[in-house]
Amino acid sequence: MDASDSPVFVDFFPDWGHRLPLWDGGTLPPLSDALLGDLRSWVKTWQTVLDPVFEVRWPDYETGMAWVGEGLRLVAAVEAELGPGYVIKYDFDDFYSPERPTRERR
Amino acid sequence: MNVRMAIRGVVGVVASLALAAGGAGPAVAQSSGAVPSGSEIRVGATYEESTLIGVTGDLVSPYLFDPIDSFQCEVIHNADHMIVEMDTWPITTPSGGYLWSGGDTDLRCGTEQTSGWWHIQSRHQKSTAAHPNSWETIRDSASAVLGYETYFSWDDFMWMAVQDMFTYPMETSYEGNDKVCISNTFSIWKDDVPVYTFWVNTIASRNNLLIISAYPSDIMYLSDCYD
Repeated sequence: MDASDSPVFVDFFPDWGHRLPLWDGGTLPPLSDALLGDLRSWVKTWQTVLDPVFEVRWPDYETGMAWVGEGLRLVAAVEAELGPGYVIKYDFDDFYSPERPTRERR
Repeated sequence: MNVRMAIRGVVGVVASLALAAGGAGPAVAQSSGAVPSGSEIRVGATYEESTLIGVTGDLVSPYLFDPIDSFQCEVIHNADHMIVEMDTWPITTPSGGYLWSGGDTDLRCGTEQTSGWWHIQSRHQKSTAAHPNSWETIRDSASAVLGYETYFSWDDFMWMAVQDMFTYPMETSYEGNDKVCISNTFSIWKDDVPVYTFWVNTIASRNNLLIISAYPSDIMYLSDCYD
């Protein structure tokens, strides 16, 4: 990337009606099939397991944390495939992190 | 008939009723009595069923939010508050299968993280470098055609488009988990010429009869509803 070039901003979030979490205005170079498959699977989990029509409630803490962790891995993987010149912005870790379970009183 | 809309005297009643009833002529979203002259600027899927949004400076009133909705959504953040309800007809897939049952369908306040007005506002009101088409894009385009800033807000355009999508669905898909995607083209008409045309998409929950999200496609000539 030339130093004079502006970075390309890519938003990364799951949404209704979208199979991929990448919002780039259709400007991204192609990503690998393996990564695209993982991205689709990650969005599908949001749409079907979390299914946040009314509330953000994962079936359990571990499932939610695994989804957030996978999202962070995917952000890094997308950045690695795109190379320099792209800035990925995300907020899913704030929006959809599971609530930490409270300890039961004895 | 959309009873809740009809009750809203403070808003563009004529436009709402005409859209909800699917009247034969173009809807008129302005107070009665005014006789516009010059070019008519309309929005909608078809010219015949379009909504007049302005003529040479005539004022029109936004029609989605009333003060109660604003209080419920923006002040006390009541996610369950129903902003508006519309009557919908059944929609089938291209092969004749079941897609949408029809019935009273709600737009609620919702939240940023979930669905409804707040979600649409959060993700689809404004454009970003990564997300070039939004409801503000359509509003700006309408203002450009009008020659002045339209008095309709982004969510007025959103709601006009959602009603059009359910009335004239052009592309549909089943998204799984009882979610459906319904889309059509939404044009800004100058007289009877479409100056701008956008594909717009609604995601709705068919088991809850709820509007989950609504947005213009980033690639304006493509529907986002596909299998």
